[in-house]
Amino acid sequence: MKRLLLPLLLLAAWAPALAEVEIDQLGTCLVCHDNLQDALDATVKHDPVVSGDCTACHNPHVSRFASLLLDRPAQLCGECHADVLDARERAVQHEPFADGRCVDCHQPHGGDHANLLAREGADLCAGCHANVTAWQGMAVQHMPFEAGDCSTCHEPHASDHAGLAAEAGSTGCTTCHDVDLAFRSAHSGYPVQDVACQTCHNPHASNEAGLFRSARHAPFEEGQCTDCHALPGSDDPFKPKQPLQQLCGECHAEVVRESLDASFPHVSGGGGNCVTCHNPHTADGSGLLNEPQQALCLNCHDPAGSSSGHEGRFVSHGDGLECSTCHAPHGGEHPILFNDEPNVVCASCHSNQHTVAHPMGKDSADPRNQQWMDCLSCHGLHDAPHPKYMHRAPDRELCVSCHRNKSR
Amino acid sequence: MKRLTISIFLVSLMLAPIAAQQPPSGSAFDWDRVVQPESERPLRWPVDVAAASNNELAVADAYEPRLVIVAWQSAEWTQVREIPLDGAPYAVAHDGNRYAVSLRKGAGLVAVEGDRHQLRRIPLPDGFMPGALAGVPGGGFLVYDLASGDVLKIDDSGSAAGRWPVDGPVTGLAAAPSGGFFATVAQRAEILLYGADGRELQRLNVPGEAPVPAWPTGIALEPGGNLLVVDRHGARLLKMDVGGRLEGRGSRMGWVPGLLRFPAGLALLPDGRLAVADQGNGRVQLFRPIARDQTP
Repeated sequence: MKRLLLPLLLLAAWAPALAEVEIDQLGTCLVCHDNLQDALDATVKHDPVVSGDCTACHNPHVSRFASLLLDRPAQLCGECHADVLDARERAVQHEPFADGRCVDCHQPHGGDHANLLAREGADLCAGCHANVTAWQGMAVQHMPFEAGDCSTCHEPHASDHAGLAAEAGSTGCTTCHDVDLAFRSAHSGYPVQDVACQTCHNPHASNEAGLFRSARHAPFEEGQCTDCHALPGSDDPFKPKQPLQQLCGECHAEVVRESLDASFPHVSGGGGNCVTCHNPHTADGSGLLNEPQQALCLNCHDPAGSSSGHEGRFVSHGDGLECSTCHAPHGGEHPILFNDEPNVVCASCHSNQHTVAHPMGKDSADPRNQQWMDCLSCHGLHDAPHPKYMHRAPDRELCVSCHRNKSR
Repeated sequence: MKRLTISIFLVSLMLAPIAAQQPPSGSAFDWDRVVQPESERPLRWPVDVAAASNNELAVADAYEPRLVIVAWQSAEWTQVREIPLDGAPYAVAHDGNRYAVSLRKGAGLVAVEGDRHQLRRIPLPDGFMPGALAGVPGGGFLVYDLASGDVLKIDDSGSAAGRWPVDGPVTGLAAAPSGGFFATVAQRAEILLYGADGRELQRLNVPGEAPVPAWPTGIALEPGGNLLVVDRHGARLLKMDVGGRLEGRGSRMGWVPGLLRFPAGLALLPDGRLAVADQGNGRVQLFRPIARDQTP
């Protein structure tokens, strides 16, 4: 009898909870969260908000997740928007999407823009992509960009193509731009529709007619395509007429020679593959570089850093400094392509440092490796964990790494 | 007792930074010694190293370009000869009979032969710019052409015995037992294996250690078949099996003996030790790869 009594008592205690209770969830929540009223008044509302079903996303009592969410944001959104979550399988992912930060772009309750976006079109993208603001100020704008419709060309969550492009290479361009007689004529008969249009055109905006990038290689500007390429009707019309180092060397003999002769050649420069770094047609900025210099160098030398912004190794020394301030991009006469001895390179900016400080140079051997003391004996070149780019804490740790007897 | 505890604590605090500079434990490579012979003109910018035997190394130094021959004499490494070069050296290798040194500034490829280490120019095709080098066991060399991207095989007599295009740019070469060769491509952190007929057989990824991508600049093949790789930017030595699996790693960035700064090339000694051109520290260092079952 005793055995039966206990379960009955427990059941009786739970009975009110098991009964269906009608609660005005939204009304209850609004008692405190009155800021949600704006979302309720918005033109676009999230479905659970419309139905007043706050518990579709939130636990009213406790949660292991911020904002009392039922799950991590991406998993929670994915329960209804499973098709979006499928995009996680794609090769290139938008950073907020990859990190599950849906609310970086979307309003979770309600807003005034389609798809619950936090802001309209390009203005939303400009929040992170500073280039957008610069492009918006340019004289010639690509129609979809001018209309703020970034998603005409880009996938907002993930894509199989670089730059989150909706389609590969020029395929997206030829959706709107017919490859007709005028197109062929404008490109001197070369089948450019088979290659990436953005190598010459900025797909967003430019100050140049035709959305050309600002700097142009002279033969390209003069329409002398056959100076470098085979005839447009040939089997391989884009093939350079000679190996690149010879072709480029016809005009840029000094640079090519410098690259080929350097005691410490740049791995690409020494191999004569100029297009690893340079665009032979058009580019933004000087030197016809494929990208701004720092981003270009980081492609090979710190790809983890360049893709994640500021988490790599070579990021912080000198705001606005170019890599070529210290390094010879075509190869040089000093290790790690330094323009000169480290002390000389550093002194070109830091002229007042160390004039009366630690001995350096040929007559001061570093006891750790018997080499000449130089700035790099104590300072990191690009980044280091301690102030003034010190390798070790400057109060004691740095000094005792050489002056061991001073630690006693 | 309290005083003793405080003293021990303070001493351990003071020694911590020194301990932090010691070679890493748990390494797949035991550090052996520094090769930095006393000289009026000590090594400064070693770009590569080659081994003629367990007792003789050649170090290519790009500072005042020269080849420095060092030998194990009276229980220390001693500089026995300094051979001035016409251009900065790029690489050095030994094929069991002689050294070969590839030179910059159009100075070509030279052999260094005999007890007196005499220089002899090795003829190369027009426009050829020698870069990475490897000795072929039994005689001959593999030479990478920085201009064309081909690897040229030179036989024992110095004649061209084959030429194959390689998906470079190649930074290091090692002869494979099959008659083909391994090539490191730093830019893509890859090791390529080519067969004796010049066909690409395999492509291995060299793992980096975030956030620093691997930058392999030298490779050697152990008799047991493992690949030994020097990672310049990661300042590491790597041991990989021929399937690309990482078997172990050794060393890291630093100044003290056992650590590396921008290592540039390596050579395997007949006794299994590995000589590494530690460019940033201006020295060569010897390491001993630990057999797999001994690796902690």
